[in-house]
Amino acid sequence: MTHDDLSRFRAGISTCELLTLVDLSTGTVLMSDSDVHFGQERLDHLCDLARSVFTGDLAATGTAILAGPTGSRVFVQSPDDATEVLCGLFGPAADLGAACAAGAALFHRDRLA
Amino acid sequence: MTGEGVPGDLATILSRAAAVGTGPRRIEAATSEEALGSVLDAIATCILPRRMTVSDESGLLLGLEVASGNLMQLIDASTSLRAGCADLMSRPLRPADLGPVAALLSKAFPGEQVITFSTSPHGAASDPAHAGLTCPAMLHTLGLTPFDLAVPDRLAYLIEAADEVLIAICRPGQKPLVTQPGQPLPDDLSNLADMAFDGLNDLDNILKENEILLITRRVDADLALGLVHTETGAVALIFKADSLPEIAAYWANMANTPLICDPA
Repeated sequence: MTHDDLSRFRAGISTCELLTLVDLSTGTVLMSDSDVHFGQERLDHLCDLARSVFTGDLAATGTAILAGPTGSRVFVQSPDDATEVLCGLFGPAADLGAACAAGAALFHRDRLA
Repeated sequence: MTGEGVPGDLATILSRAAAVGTGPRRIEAATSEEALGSVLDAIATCILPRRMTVSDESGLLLGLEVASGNLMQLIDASTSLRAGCADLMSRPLRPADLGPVAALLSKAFPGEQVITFSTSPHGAASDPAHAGLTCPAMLHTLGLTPFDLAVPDRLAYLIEAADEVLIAICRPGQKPLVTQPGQPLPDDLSNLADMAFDGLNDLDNILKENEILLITRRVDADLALGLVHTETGAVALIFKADSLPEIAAYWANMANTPLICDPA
């Protein structure tokens, strides 16, 4: 997965404000794409959220969405490497179905590559 | 200075405000209320004087002068809209214009539209003698009311709206309330709910007011679990898994969509 892949993902989903690929095992933001600069603490916070959702007592697998009136954070886990998660920040009116599908398609394309 | 101590919601709003102007925003509005809500929200969040262009699939709908969160002037309109509002164009709007402006907005935004907003700096400073039309006044004149005023319990609102995909409602220490009696239930429904409440410590760090966390799990692949904090404690909702994005989108957008109210 490349930075261009993240850019194309964001361009295809309206109100996608930030997209990151994180490594849960190290708590590292591997790459990110956004229109405006997000501080490292914001990226780290998104990564921490993903760790809590996928590795804590909740132990989610696959997809998770944290939604509220100011927008949604979408997490899509790699089917091949459970430590890799795409994390996206979306506005309230986003098409979250398309966002989840696009995330899964990115990982699927990686698998075929 | 770091972002520590800045509430997440505030940080999100500030980031979004910073991003406005980097490109047009596109909203898919299924209903007239959704469309009008998004237009009024776009106006209300525009503080600096801006020219705002609102378009849909058919092209330009309205050109607006917006400042201080108010609608100051109608600058442009599509040919079909302009026919009925020529006397409103290119002059400061006053409270007496609320009715005609509301009628114009209702005509421009019938719903089932993909609406695009773009803004650019407005050359001239606004006339300080005119405050323009406020969004609450336009909302009221349109016969709409903000979601939070109309719906005191958004969880109950979701439960009612999601009845076709909601399987059970669980509260700590209580037997799951099955919402679809005819539906075959998974054997480990109680286990799933218990697991959710075992994770309450994690939830406290994740969930904020008016947020829902929806997750899927490999062991219950057909189910999605929704977790909400309420005043009376945590509630777990169990949905059909394929409805997860739709439920999340509904929850995120519902508070931003005004509801039709009784004008009286």
